[in-house]
Amino acid sequence: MLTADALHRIAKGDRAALTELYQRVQPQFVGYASALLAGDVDAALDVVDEAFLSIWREAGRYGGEGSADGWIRRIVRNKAVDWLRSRRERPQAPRGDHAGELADPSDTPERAAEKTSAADELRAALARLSPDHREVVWLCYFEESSLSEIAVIAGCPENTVKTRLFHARKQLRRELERQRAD
Amino acid sequence: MDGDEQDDRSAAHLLPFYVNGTLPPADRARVEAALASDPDLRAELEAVSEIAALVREGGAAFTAPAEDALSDRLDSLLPRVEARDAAASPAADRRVRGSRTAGAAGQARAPQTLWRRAFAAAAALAVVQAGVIAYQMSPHGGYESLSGPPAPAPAKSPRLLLRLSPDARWEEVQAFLESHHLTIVGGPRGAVIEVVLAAGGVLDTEIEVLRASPLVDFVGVES
Repeated sequence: MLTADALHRIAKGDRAALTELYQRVQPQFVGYASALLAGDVDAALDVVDEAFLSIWREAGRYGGEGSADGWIRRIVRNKAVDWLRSRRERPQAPRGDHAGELADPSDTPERAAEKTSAADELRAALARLSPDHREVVWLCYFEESSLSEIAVIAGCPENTVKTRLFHARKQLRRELERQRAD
Repeated sequence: MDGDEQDDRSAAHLLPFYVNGTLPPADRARVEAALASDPDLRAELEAVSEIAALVREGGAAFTAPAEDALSDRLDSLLPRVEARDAAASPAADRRVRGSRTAGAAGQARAPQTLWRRAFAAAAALAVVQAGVIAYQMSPHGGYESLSGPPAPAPAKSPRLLLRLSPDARWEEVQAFLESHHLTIVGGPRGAVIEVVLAAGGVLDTEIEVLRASPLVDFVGVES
């Protein structure tokens, strides 16, 4: 089911379409929102649920202009921005609640520990970046989006994307060196 | 800065996309040529690759809720969808139901108990709405939001006039204003309300947010 088709069905009140869309795209958008929220997966889950409530109500407003996935991402982004504003960017202690979700039955204990450690390291590093910088880092390195795709999502010129990535990388590197020195 | 330095800097800025494999062939060739002749750029490439590996590995924890966790989230989301429909204003409810008959198959999947709860919520909302209307028609004639009495406007805070969208639902407007440090101080007159910024809010930011919101059709600043 294409996302645009799903939105048209949702606009007609089709809950099955909402369920299918949620199951298909929720993990991806939780990842994106988590990155914007510096790795706070619990908050990201709430943000994405709020976005889906808006999608249920607003799906009829998607008129086919632009990509349907991009339309959903903008809603998730706005909800994440609202969340950040409401929390006024108070630094949050990293939550380890979801570390267990990394567990893969085929992982050795050492491998599972490595994965958890990487997640914590990334959380702490992202917390040092602005949300704008977190967003481009995530889109480039995790979602492997192109320069032009990121510019559309972030709503800024391509040169701004490159500059943000450049500064984010410098800051991330400093933070990782600091963590490893501790 | 001479041309070579500009090329080096430009190549350095393209490294993230070289690493993620999305560079067009011409840019890719340019980066590879620069890498062949510039040891600093090669060191930079290592740093970028390290960051990319960390984000890929650490980020997996952000995106991989277990299957049962996804199902649990969905189980808690669907009743909220039902409740939101049930809490719709009568006008919006007519609009929604008029266009939603095609979704009968999906609705049939919902447990009957949810619909009972939904009708109960709608009935409760109607009582609350009646109370608000009665208050607005009362002799003191002021406006009181369901979240409390009107707050006095801070002396230096300009009033904002908001015309609400015809589709806006009252409980959503209230929640939205509350989350953006805005307090209702007047109205409604037709679909227009007056709000002021509470302490701690940033006026320009909140105006921008209001203008972007589908709940609000117009934002004016009272001079």
